[in-house]
Amino acid sequence: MTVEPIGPYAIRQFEIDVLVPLSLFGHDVSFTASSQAMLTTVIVVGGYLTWATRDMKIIPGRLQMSAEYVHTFVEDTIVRFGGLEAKRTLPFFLTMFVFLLFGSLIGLTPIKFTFTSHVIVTFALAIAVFVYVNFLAFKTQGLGFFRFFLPTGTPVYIAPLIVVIELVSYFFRPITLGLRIFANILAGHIMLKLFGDFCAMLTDTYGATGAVAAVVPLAAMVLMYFVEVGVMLIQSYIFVVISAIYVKDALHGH
Amino acid sequence: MTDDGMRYIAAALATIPLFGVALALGKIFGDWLSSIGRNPGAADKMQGVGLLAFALTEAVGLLALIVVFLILFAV
Repeated sequence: MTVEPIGPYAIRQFEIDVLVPLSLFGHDVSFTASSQAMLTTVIVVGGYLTWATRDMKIIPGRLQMSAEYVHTFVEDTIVRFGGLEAKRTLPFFLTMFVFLLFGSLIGLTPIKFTFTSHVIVTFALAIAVFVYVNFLAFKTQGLGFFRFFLPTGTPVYIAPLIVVIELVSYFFRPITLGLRIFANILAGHIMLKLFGDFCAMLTDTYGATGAVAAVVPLAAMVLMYFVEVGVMLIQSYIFVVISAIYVKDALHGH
Repeated sequence: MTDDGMRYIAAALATIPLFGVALALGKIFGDWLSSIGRNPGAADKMQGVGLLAFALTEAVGLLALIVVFLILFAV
């Protein structure tokens, strides 16, 4: 029998299935597996948070405690990296955090599609952060925000160079912000798929002996699952941390 | 040499940056451990910055991975 090369096969998990084909003014707006995963995330997160906070008590129960923990965690992160004034951005970044985190975690369940493994999704979220941060910057500092591109105390003769470098690095922010989480999730899913395919390939090719040997990659895969959960937690956290640093720049300049 | 052969060699060469990432990760965790060893009381405060540095460095390695995939499957 012929065994398909597993390299391309591992990539094929990121193909998007169209569930309900739709078209609007000549544009393809079909309801896809990606949309379904996002909708699931919104329903799960929204349902969980609404249910957990349906009657708030001064002494919280376990469920309320868990919801409060998420809230406090994001709040602490933003205040630590963005300063006290960054606290008013909490609703936005709390939403980002739970959307990315639960989206990735729900995508980790078997068969389910992971929408954060597509660069366009994370990039769109990063652009949203970028636009919001710029809006904050011009609202609080006005045109004085442009001072950000020329740090005080720069000698005049290297000023043009510094401005160009600062501008380029500023406009690369949303790209790196989106790419970071996308690359991590992509790499993790490819790794899991490779291990899974390897198990199947061993069993297919060598029968019972292969099935026994497949325990090793299976164990590695289970370990990888735990690593992936950690990676998703860290990456969502990093997303908020870096956004908070941007907010700090926007509110206070350099 | 065939096109596919060149492609595999290019993909292999694109993983060279991992050398630098490995050095950086070693330095991050080494310094992290030694600073916790010097001041265990401040270990909690170091956690956030340490994880931040780790994730930023890891992302560089994953960029190399993306380049490899682009070479293998997209170009």
